[in-house]
Amino acid sequence: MTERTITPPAIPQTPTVAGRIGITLLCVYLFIVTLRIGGCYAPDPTNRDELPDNGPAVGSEFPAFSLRDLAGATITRDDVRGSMAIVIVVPTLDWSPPTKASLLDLATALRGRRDVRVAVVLPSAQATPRSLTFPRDHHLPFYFLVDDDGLIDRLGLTTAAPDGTASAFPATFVLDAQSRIRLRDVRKNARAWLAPEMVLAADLHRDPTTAPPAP
Amino acid sequence: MPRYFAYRLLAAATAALFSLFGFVFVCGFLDRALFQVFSRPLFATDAWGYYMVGVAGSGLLVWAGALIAVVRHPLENRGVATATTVGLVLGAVLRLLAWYSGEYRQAGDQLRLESGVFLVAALGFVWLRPPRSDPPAP
Repeated sequence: MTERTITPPAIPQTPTVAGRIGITLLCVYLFIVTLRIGGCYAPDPTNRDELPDNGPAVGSEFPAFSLRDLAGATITRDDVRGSMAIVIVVPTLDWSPPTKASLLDLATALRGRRDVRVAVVLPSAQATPRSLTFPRDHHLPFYFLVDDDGLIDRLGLTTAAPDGTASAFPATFVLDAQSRIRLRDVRKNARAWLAPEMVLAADLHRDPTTAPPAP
Repeated sequence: MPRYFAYRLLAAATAALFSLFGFVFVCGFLDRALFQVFSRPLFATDAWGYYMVGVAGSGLLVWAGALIAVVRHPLENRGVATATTVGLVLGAVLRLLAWYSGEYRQAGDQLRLESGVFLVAALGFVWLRPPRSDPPAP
């Protein structure tokens, strides 16, 4: 047998170098995104009320409601009375990543706290199957209530979603055992939510209608 | 040559990690589906989730095998490095999207950290890969 020598064809190096540079630029860009993406929806430690003229003020009674939850049960204001309660009005549970992240943050902060009841109120137009997947997947210990009773209207939080359907401004209410509002955080943009630590740190024993103590 | 050594070391480390995770994933699926050895499930998911974990584990074991071939014969298996680079960049993008979706908030910064590690490893596979014209490693 004769041994044959196969000479490999000359391969230009330019495409390889261009490919390497392209991949490198892509990796550097993604690396910058990795470093910067943390600022997309960090919890806000500052209490804000960007719609102070809408809805009940701090110190007043939270409006009565009677809403059905995802299991079909009817939940009323009396069901969350008797201990600290948090009512969160969300614009959606589908197209707003910060909203979902904030609820997961709150669930983490509330781990082990059985004395706090949380009701998440979702506009009925946003109660789509995609939206309802979120609470079912994460097994959050909250009431997820669909607002077919006009509660969001009474709170003055109705707005329009990007697709034109009815939605709500994001809001957080902390209620005391008598369903009086102790903390109210209303925002026009769901990118930032009040930090769970600030929600839980709401002073439940201080009467908000009285002047704060002198420093 | 230091470059060959670094390249083989990177491929070996990646193969070791992929083998480890592949083994754990396959074990998790087998435990859930057949044997119930562990006192508690390895992953918090349902039967279909375990099925996907098992499929992913199988893929990782095969990928680790390909990377071992890279460690043994770097010049003959350059294409594996290219495929690994693409896979790592895709994995980094998926992790960033998962982080941004808000659904994986409880993972904290783990997804971002993994994404960064994947990108660094991808750059390693791009720039340490021996060129075609290089002599074979001693």
